[in-house]
Amino acid sequence: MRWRIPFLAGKWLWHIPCNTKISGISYFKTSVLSLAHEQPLRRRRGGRIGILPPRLDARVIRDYLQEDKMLWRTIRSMEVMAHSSSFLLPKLHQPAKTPANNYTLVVLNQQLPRFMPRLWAQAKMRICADGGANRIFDEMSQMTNDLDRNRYIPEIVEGDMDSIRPEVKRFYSSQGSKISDKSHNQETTDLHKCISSIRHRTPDHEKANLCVLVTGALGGRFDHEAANINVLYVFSDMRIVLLSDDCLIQLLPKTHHHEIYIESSVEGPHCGIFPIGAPSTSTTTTGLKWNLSDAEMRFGSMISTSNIVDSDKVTVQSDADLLWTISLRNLT
Amino acid sequence: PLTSRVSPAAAATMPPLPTMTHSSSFLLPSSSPPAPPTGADAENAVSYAVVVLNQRLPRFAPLLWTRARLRVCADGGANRVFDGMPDLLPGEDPDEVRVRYKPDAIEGDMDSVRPEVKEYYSSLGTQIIDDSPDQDTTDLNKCISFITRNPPGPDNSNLFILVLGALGGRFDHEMGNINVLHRFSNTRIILLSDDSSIFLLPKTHSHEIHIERSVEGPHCGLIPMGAPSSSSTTTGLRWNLDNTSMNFGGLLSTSNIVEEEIVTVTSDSDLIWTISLRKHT
Repeated sequence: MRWRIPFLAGKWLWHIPCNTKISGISYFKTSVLSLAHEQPLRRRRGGRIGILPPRLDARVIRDYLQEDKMLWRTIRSMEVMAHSSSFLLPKLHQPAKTPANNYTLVVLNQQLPRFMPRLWAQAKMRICADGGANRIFDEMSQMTNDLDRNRYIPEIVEGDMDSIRPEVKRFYSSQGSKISDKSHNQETTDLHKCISSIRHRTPDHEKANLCVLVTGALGGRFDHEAANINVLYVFSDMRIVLLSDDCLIQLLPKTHHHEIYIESSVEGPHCGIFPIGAPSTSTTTTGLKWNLSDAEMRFGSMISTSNIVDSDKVTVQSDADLLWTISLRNLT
Repeated sequence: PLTSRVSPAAAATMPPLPTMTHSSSFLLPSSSPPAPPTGADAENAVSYAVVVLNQRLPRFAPLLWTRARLRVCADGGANRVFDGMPDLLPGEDPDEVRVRYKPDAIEGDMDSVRPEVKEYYSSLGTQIIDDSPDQDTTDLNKCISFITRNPPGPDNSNLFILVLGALGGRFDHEMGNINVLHRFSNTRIILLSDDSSIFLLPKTHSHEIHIERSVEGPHCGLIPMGAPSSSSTTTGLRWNLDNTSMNFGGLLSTSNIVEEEIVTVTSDSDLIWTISLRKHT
């Protein structure tokens, strides 16, 4: 007898016919667990067949599984997470109804990328992390040939304030930026503080749509770069994209199957996938020139560098959290 | 978990890990030559090889080039040497600089090196090694293989390979370059940029890092790249680790500070050590 659960996207799409009898929660858990592990259906020994509610929908199943959070996560691991860099396109080229084009921009303390003016203009909110404010103050007018600094005021300046110049801080404060001084907290990096605040300020029902773009996280001191990449892992349930002139980086959590839609006018073809937190025993991809098929990846052995996107959609599924990177181009 | 800890009785009978010493004395300006090597290294002097990848040269490139006995450019790295060395030595005649700073070999698939640059160095005697693109090995990987097959000294035992241009730029290149440290864990390879120096601390050894305060520090970090570490211990840092576990998603040792002239590190996992370089280096 085949069981199907309609709300699951991806590989296992099952529905439970209304007139099927199964023995309450414990049998149901076994059957769902069987699905998750690709085992054939088994009836619990001694279980009796009972009756399921006639209208079985995602909410009902969720209620059944509420008690067993781990099982719920196993089911959720089949969900697909879609990624798109359409935020890099000029506004009039962006497809209608793209998710996550309302992004928050975080500016760290490195030279601004070439495409900063457009990224700034299209952001929903802009946060300068400490010395990132110096960068906007000094470099934005050169990039835009616009000497009017008043046009580039971040909503928030946040961090431990040990890099921002006093006159820069005064200027933005006088122009209405909220100055969020977190100097009492020396345990975390400026980026960590910014992401933490963004998350804190976002109502629960909007958290899934959050997208944060970060400039200046790469290059510079290597320990800063590692700490910034770590922020992607620490806040793995948020969409955070690190951007530089050359590439973008984001985390592909192991809890999801990933579909990455490639905007070939602004990104590619060079790409790569890295298991920097822990090795992967099984990763499978499609859409790349050198695809992985149930492959192992490990530092010290094989990792996927200098790969090429070969399609407008790349899919990735893995048993380990992976970092995805793709080269950027034609951005001004 | 307790099951992974060695019992005190067993620990007492386990041989201690061999010690590996590290020093950045190659960064010292030529007016203060490197301190004479100590211990086992005293018998065989250290020799350096330099690899230049395709990024802007760091400011100390001429110094390291002069110190090295073998210099290899990976493809477009040759453009960087051709253009960049005269810029770093502005008081000198560019043509003389180019002749003096001539690579021993240029290796790669030759799709980045400018034809006139390749011709120029070839006419001066530089070996040109044309490799077809190979998805299993990066340009750096090929250069390291070349150097280990053609070591400048009698063997590889005291060879340090200094790599310029491995960090920054395209992230997949940077990761590939760091993977080279893991793949050649028996070879001393140091990746250098204007801002940082990084090298691997293999878990097979306990490490003594001699700090040259005039050219490096104080910011440093230890990163478990590729696999978590359940136990690392250090001395000589402001925030030392004491059987501490580190992993991506949890704690990494970053923005740490070197406090003493020798930093020691022992870990159950390979770690990447990084230290900031001072601006006047």
